[in-house]
Amino acid sequence: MGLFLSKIVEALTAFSGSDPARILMLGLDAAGKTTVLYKLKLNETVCTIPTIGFNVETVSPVKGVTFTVWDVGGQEKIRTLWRHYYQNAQGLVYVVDSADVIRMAEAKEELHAICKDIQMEGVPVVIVANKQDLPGALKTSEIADQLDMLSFRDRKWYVQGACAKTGEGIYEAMTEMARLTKLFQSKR
Amino acid sequence: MAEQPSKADITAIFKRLRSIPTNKTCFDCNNNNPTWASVTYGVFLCIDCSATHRSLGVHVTFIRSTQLDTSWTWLQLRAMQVGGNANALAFFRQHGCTTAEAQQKYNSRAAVLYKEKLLGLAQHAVRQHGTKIHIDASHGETTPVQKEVDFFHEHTQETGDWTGTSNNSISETAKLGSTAPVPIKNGNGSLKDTPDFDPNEGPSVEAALSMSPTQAAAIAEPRKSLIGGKKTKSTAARKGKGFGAQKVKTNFNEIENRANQLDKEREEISKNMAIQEARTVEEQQKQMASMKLAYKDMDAKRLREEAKLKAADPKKAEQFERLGMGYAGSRGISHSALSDMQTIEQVNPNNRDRDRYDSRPKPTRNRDFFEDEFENLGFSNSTSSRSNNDSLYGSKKEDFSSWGNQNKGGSWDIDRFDSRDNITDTMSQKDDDSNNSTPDEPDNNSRSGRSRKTYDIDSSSSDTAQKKFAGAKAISSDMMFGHTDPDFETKQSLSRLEGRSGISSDDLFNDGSSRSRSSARNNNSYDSTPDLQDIKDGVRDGVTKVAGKLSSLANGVMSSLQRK
Repeated sequence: MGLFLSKIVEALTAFSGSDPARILMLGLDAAGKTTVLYKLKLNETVCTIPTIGFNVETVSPVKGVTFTVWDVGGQEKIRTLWRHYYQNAQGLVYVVDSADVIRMAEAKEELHAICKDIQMEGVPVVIVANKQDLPGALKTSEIADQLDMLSFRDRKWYVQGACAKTGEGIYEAMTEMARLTKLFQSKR
Repeated sequence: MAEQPSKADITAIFKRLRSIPTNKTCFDCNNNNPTWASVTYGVFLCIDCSATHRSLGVHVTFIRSTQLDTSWTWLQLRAMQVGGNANALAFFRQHGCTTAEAQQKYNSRAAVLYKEKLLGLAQHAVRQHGTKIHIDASHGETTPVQKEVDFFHEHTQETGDWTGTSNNSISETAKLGSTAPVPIKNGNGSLKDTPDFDPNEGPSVEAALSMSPTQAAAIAEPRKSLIGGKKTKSTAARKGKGFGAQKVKTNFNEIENRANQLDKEREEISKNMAIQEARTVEEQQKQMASMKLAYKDMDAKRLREEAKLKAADPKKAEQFERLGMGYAGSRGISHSALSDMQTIEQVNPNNRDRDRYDSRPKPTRNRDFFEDEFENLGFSNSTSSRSNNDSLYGSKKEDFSSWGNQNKGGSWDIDRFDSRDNITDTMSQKDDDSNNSTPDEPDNNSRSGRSRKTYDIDSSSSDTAQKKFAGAKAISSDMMFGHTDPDFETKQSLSRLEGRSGISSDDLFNDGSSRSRSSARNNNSYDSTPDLQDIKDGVRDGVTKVAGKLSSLANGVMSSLQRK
């Protein structure tokens, strides 16, 4: 009986407990990365100041799944630091502001630059098409096109329309992230 | 737009802008040394207020960092230059918007108005200065400083913000104590300018710049000798006081003669006028004939081209049609829009034009006078602005005034046509409107228009995802390309769902599984300790997924579970 319990605990810790997946959360400035993170962590909508540096939180958005989410600032000068967080990343949550149509091309450039990096090879990508509540926000399908998701054939990706203010869509995104991360880990 | 400004330019511009006292405090909360900026409103904000701004969305206000963002465009920089906290504050106050609540403040009418106005000003600044004029212009040390001053004049002029004083450049002296909220200048500018320019000359220079050079000279010269001239005249009158009567008599004779001569001249003129009128009528008839031909030609050409275009590229034809509507050509063949011409046919324009041309000669003098003056105005406007660009002292105030004049000219134009002939007024007004609006419209919409355009291109180039998942809330690579290894995945999802009581067909697919999972999460979120179901799930997940590596361990657990 004792052996059994210890085995169970061991199994638990091996799969979900102490070794949370390392998830990177990137995106242009003012996309809503920090808001998504704290919505996941606290289930509260916080008014966040621009992230200078990074936030890191351990969240379990889905039962039995724990992520260490690294939310790095999206200001242009900070973007050059993103690559230092690539190592051992098991998933990328890329947040875009769906209403910022003008900078969608910029978002695409950054996303493709991230994915080209050798350290991010095959890492699954979940796009959070944030701010779907705003007027003029692009639909999920439009975001997928604008970000040229079709060119990502070497990895799993998922595009999820979301609104971080209400929390709509972000749990779905995280669920998908969990699935894709497990896939990615098992393939390794 | 033109090429991107270099990093050095950006830092230099912001160093300058942030040295302005009003820009040293946050626009919303008066915190010191704001490093963030709302490009939409051209104001400087602290990091806390930038957070509120960012939460409003980019359609309301677009936030950039003056330090951490490096890809500022010229338009954005110009917006910051022509904007600034002082102007925005003045505008908001002027329009009675004093609320501190961001949601109200930036969704108010004043905010919308200011946004549009600033965009217009910034675009004008970009057009006017391009990329050439910025702080580090290669004109020596003092000139760029002067240019900077001009810049602030431009916007202080516009918003009617008159605070602070400094008279260093000639433009400022001309404007008599208007603002230059740039403190650094005082030393340099005044040293250089005061010896060269008498402040009394200021107004005349300004007048000269707003008119054509010749006119200005005509006005300016007598003015210069005004005092001397007056004196001589008065002294002469005093001298001749004694025998003034005789002179008056001779003068009367002269006047009589002159009057007679004038009468004769007038008769001659009227004769000439009649002849001229006859001539002009003839000419106009000739013109009409040629116009008719031109119309025919145009029509035929248009039809041909239209057909060609439509055959070649229907989209382009549509666009051309639309563009043509906005882009009215010369007044003679004014309604240049392809579709318009079609409806008018050839009978109508003739009538209209005959009316138009026949009605003109009757008030010939009036017309000539008007047109001359108008042309003069137009001409002088262009020359003045040109000379402004060339001259070192060309202050932006003059530029702006000429800009305004041009606008006035435009409206005047409409009036002219309106009063002249009612028949053509709709047409001409349309032309005028289009003429006026064409340079403005694309600019106003340029941001959104450009973006929309690029978006259109993008979507047309690769719209497969849109076609496939137009209404979908989420799209995955699997859905797009099909399952790469369906056996494994279905197995996995099946195994994940094994412990559940019912498995629907939806659950097998991503959407269903995520829904059920998240609902499960919500249900169980209150108890922190893992229950047996979760353990089973976790173990089963692990077994299926990390099967190779941990199979033995998982098997052990399973077997012990079963034994229990």
